[in-house]
Amino acid sequence: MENLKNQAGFNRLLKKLLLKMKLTLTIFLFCLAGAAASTYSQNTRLDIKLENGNMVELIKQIEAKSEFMFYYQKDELSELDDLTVEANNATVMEILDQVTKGTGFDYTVIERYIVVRKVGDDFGNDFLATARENIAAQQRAVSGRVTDSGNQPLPGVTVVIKGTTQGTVTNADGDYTLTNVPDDATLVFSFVGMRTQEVVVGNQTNINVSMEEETIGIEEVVAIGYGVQRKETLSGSVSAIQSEEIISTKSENLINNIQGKVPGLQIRQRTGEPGVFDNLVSIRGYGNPLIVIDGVTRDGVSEFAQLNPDDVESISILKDASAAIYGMNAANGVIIVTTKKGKRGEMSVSYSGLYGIKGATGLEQTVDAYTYRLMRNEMDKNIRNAPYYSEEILEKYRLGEPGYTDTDWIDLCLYDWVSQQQHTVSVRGGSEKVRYFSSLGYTEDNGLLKSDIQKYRRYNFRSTTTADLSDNLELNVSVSGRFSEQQQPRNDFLWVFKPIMVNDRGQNYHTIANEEHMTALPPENTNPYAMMHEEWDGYRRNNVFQYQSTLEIIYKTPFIEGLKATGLAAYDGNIDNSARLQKAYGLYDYYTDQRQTTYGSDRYQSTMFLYNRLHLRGQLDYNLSVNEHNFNFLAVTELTRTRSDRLQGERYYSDLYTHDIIDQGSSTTATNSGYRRFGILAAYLARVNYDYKSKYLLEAVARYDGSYRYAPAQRWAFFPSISLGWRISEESFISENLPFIDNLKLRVSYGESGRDVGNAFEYIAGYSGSSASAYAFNPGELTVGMTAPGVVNENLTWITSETSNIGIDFDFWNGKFGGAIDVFQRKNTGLLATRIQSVPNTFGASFPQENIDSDLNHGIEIMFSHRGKIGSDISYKVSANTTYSRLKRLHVERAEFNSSWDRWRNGNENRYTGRMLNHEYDGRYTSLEQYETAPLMGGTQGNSRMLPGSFAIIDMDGNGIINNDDRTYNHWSFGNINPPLQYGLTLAGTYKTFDLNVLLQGAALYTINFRNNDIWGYGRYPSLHERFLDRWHTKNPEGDPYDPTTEWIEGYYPALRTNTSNTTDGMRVDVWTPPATYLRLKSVEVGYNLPQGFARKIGMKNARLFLNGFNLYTFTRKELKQIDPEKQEYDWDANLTYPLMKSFNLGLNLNF
Amino acid sequence: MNRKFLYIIGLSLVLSITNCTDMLELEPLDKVSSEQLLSSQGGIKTLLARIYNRMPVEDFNYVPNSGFNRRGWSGIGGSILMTSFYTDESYRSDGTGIGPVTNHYWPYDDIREVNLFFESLEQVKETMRESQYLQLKSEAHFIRAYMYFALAKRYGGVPIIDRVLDSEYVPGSDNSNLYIPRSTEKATWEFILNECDLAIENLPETLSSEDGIYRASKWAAYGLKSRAALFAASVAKYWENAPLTGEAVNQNLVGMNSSDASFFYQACLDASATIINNSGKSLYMPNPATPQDAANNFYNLFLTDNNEILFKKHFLDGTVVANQGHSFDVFYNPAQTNPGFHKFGRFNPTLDIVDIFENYTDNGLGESAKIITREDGNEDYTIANPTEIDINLPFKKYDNLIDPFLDKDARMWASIIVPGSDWKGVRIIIQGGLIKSTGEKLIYTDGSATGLDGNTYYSYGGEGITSYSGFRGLGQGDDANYTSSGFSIKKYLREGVSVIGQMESSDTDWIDIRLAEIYLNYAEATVESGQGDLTLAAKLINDLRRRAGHQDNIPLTLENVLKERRIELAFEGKRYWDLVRRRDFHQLFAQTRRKALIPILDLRDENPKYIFVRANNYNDENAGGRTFQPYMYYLPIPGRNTNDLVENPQY
Repeated sequence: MENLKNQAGFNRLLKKLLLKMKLTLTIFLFCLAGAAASTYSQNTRLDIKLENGNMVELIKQIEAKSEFMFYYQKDELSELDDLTVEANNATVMEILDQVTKGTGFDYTVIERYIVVRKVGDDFGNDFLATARENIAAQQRAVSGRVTDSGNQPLPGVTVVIKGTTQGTVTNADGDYTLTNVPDDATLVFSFVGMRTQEVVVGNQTNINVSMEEETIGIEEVVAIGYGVQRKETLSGSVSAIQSEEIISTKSENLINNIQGKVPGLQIRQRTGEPGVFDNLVSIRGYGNPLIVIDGVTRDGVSEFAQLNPDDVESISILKDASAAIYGMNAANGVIIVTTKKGKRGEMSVSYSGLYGIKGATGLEQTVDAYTYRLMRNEMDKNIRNAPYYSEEILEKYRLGEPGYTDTDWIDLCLYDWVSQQQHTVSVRGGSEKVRYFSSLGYTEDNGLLKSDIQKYRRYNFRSTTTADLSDNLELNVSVSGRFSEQQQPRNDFLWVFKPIMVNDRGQNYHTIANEEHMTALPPENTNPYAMMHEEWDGYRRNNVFQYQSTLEIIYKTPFIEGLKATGLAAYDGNIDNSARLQKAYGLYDYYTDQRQTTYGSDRYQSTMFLYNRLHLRGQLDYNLSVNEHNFNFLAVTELTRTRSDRLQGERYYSDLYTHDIIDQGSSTTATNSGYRRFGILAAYLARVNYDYKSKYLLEAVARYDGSYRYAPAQRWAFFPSISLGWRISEESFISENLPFIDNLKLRVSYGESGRDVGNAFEYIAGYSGSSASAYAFNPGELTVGMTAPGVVNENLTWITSETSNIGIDFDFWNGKFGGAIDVFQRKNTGLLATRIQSVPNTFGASFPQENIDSDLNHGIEIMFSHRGKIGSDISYKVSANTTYSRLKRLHVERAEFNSSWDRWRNGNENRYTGRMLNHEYDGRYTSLEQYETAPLMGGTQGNSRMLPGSFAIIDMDGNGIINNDDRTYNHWSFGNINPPLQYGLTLAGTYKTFDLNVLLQGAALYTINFRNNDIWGYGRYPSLHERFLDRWHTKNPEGDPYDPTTEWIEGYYPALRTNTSNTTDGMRVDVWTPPATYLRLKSVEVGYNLPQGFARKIGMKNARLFLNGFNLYTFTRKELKQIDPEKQEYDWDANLTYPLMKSFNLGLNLNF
Repeated sequence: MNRKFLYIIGLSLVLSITNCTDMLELEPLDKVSSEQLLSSQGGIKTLLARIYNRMPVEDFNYVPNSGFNRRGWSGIGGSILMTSFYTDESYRSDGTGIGPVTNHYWPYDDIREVNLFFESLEQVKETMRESQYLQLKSEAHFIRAYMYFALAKRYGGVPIIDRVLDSEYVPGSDNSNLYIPRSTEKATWEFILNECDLAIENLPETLSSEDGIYRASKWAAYGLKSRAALFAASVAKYWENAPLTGEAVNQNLVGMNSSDASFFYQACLDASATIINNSGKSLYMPNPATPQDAANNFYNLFLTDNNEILFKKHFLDGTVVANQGHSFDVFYNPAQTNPGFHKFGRFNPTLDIVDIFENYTDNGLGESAKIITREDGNEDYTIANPTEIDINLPFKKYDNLIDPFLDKDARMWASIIVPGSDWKGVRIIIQGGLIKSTGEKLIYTDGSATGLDGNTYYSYGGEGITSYSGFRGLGQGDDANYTSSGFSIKKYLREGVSVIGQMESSDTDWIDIRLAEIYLNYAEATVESGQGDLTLAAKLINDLRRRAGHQDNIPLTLENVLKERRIELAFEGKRYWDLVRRRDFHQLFAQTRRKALIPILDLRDENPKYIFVRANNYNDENAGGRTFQPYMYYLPIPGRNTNDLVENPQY
């Protein structure tokens, strides 16, 4: 019995428990179903009609018609039957009162929960308690503090209960309080520049949030032309990169910092020379993009490269029709740089800095004097010449007798490692009304030459203030500038570098007899040691002071909601002062100490270049939302005036050199030159953005652009563009069926834009003078000749570019797999060319530039990303991107082809660029016998000069002779090329207080030329590069190379010879122009954040220590490692460019 | 409300900043309109300077394979060349082939500018003195004649365009009116002579420094006519020596009848005689006391202003005034006196021309005096590759490098630096190798040996690369900076002036037309046509020899006239065109190797001696000899796919 009782008690308990659980769940679901309604009016009125029904039926009816929920025991209620109720517009209480009166039943209402039970029964108490609890919880207040990632209180953050208009803004301490927060609520924290966060309230009453600065994500706001836009409503192809991603690579050049990180942005670093910022930058292969800094079109790529990376908040890259809003100069795409601005909150002082060492990524090495001489004799032997060096001389070099020693020019002139450093201090903060950001940066870069003559120093400053002048009026004032100093040897680096690489190592920089006497060294008869020293040869210095100032007033009209007017004036300038001092000095013969020549002349040259630009703009923005139809209208009018002045002066000085000042030279030798130029551009533009529920997106732009350059009738251009977007993920059929799809957007765009090109004033006939057409009628008296004008072109106008893009953005499983794929095309029409075909060449007049040619770029870019966490400590992000873009010429103005062969051979119409004519390589000949049947080299020599190891070349035309006609377009080109295929991979991760950033970057589909006989070919100069030792040579050094029985040892290079004429050895095949495909570990950064507590103890909000490496390792062909495949061959394809640098840096980020 | 009003005004101001249609109007600051230009005398002078600048003068900056006024890197582009290198009188140390000049001279743009100049002159005719107007007009005729002459000698008959065609060009039409066909070669020459006559008409006899002394005078125009007429006459007379066939020949666009010759010879005679009789021009230093004086005089003739010159071109130091200098001193000093540029020592006079110069036997025959290298008189012996010489042949042994040349014509001493000469205070060492005391040869290679006297001797004559001037770097292509002929140029090279080792650092004037050429033209026209004054012609030849220190008179024969011409005008760029107009080129160069003289030090004697070996030019030998084909007398018409002109034969 006891057992049974117990059993029954247990059952009852279990029942109650289950019931309670069920109830809780039910109520919870109710709460959810009841959506956000926080109170359910007990005054809800109902119409009920029941005839002879029972209580349960009544309840069912009420439940069906309202949101009330009844709790009752069905058996019990069966007592209440035969009820007839007819209620019109009655409350629940009225109805229940009516039916329970005098029945022994009563009811209790809590919110919308109603218990019907017998009077005095405790049935349903549990239910009521749970309901009470939940209701109380739903209505609680939530408070907390919002901080930034540096743990700084963040005032002004908007906190809203999701789906309502109920919300507040954090105060100056970052604190907020929200009352009446239902516990099913989600709080949305948002702040410009920060990633919007959502927190489910649950049962929390104190919610602290640390806001993260915005990174690529769906909620992001990105800079677009003349404004910003939420990324989710973007319909154009725009990539953005944020501050922390930019500075995870460290170099003196901002462009290097973003290389490989942005899909569609193609970059090639051409040189590592301090103070030279000439990267090839192109969006999708289009050419130099337009650079817009803080809303204003500023100077070009080199200016962009010299911005202080720590000042940059974000960079947006407009790649398709989205760029067309910039009109006349936007055909190559636009890079928009947004610098850091002030923000409300207490003052925050930051320091970031690094110190590093850097060295060449690759450098050819030369063989020593003795080895060179052995090789030189081998070369002579290989062309059947008598050996150049006698045994006697060889022996002297072998023993290193005085005067016959080896000089390692590379070691003598170049450091292995040099230092660099960068420091930035910035202050940021603001009160309710005024926000400010100021920074000061210093960058130091040093060159490899051991004389320390190569230097680059840069000082950047920036100061911006934003002030709310009144509720409606905001003022932005921003001033920034750069002062940079570059110092170089007087000669271009190439001319210093060349002798270092090709000088005879058998001589020294001073004569044997006199250490003070610089030698004239073969083959250049220059002396690199003297050339790199200021005291011998002079120097070049370039000081640039560049400033930019912007004043912007924004007026939010109180009388029309959503209307904003902006007036902007920007005044920028450049003062560029360069100086060149050249000194004359004697060069002596190494052996005899005889003065051989005087090198250079004594003179000083100074150049002053002034440039300024005034930009004025008026802008109206109007936002309008009607029933989830969102409109944004923009109208802009702008004007840019530029002026440049140049003045150059030069004087010789004779015996006495005092200072590098023009006046200190001899006035009789003064020469000078100069010019002045003006330019004006103007534009009107309008844009409308429309979206419906952020689901269907449309942007349309019309721009009307004018340039001073053209004839009045041709000045104004109209550029329309349109883009459409469809966020498929917002459609219910996706969101309901494929919930893992967080974002899926389809974009299509088409736009026209232009390029303001061609000679200015081509429409005006006018004579122009030049010293190249001068004539002396009397001794020493020069009359500058005036050149007659050619035919004028009144129709010259801009190049029109039509850009199309189809793209898709996606994000699945909450960042686990995201990406974007874009297919793009740009057609240029009206490219400049000079007409050839219309008149005979006896006409005589030069033809003007006309808009004749056309071309087409197209390609694809792909970006994938993945975010994830491993355990709770490791979070990481991987992002990979690649861009492939090719240029095809459509129309090319040229003289008629002579034949179809001529067209195939020399034409490039309808042909992709980037390919070149080459011989087809077919391995090597390994023995002399093979030449008896091999195709002939032609000439009178036949194959009599060929040796084992020479290239077998396919005789394409089968005529038995190898000549230029056998070449085909089987090779990728070399030279000034931004590689058509580029790729990058970024890996970012954090582990506890450590963070790691790795960037891999690479390029392909181009080649490097190092056949250039002038420098790298052997035998031409008295030096030899180490790699050529890997050559075909006779096993026995004394062996006769032309004896068929001589044994050979194989090598990578053909047999060395002083000249390759009548052989295939010099022919351009892969050995000389290898594919430059590479993948490099571009940067690695490991950071360590000091624990917060410790940082605070030493007075800092946070502190981070990092170790960074740049250009660390390159995966590429073996023979390119000594050159660096990214570096460009440059002048004469000589590969004498300054090497690219790898660097190791140690740095600190501090925040006070 | 008031404030709102202000905002609206402000806003409309902002929006109206660009509200002006003329806001893009700017004026070009680097262009001058023709109104501006022609309103001043200075303006006319700038136009004149321009067309003078465009004259195709084959001066120091003429690069036969790339064009006129070629300076700096764009100009030399690795090929430092003079027309002289294309002939048998010199070559470049790194080897130059024989062939046509290939610079595609086609100056219709320049001709248009001259024609524009005529138009401009008409516009300002009223505002200037008539004499000035007429002089300017004649000057333009002179320049136009000069340009057409440069065309005719390259292409034969060319389209004659003597007006500005600009206004006849209609964009988009087929412009058929612009396709002006080639004139016949004869008509082209006649046009040139007529232009010369128009030039002669109003050019001044003397040039004042007020107007400028480097402008054309009447005598320059006569000189040009003398030269052009002789050219035309020679083509007419010798065309049959290298006849061509083809459409151009059928239409007489190239080639003339021998019957045309006498007209042109007469024109040459008349023009030359006028200069000789009326110009007051005279030979520079016509009566030297000694051959030594004669050599000095002849050398100085090219470096001083003197009364022998009919037309010359001025240069300024291009390192000071850009684009105004030339690089003769930089490129062509022997290696030992290289001013410091990395290309030098490249002007190599041939042994062929050295052999032509007479010595001072003065027996009235005027025979050439070949350099004596052998004891047995076998001067026909020439070796292809000097490294293979038989050292036991009876070479004549000399004590000094300079000895074989001592008695040669003053003009050789003034024109050529021979081995052992003193130049700029330096003994110029040119030596191709040595024979060790053991009889082992060290030729065309760097090395040294000990003589029987115990001294060390070097194969190139010196220890360091700056201590000798010959034979280093043979076959080294563009780095061959040492003479490979055994000789170095001296004419036009300045001994007393040092330049800095940069391009364009020379400012020596170029003498384009001088009286000696007129003498030679007259003499040639006389012997060729039988129309001139034989006595005068003979006197003119001997006047030139007298100026060179010779005392005898040689007879007027064609051979003597041509030999004098080679000697007197050596390295002045005339030889190439002489070989062309007389159709001698293809006969002279048929797998021909030009000659070099290789001094070799023989250490087999107690006192080392020099032997001199006649050898083929290294590069000519490697190329299997040089050949000039008859079709090369005319160059291909440039741009035929645009101009529809009849092509010259065999192109």
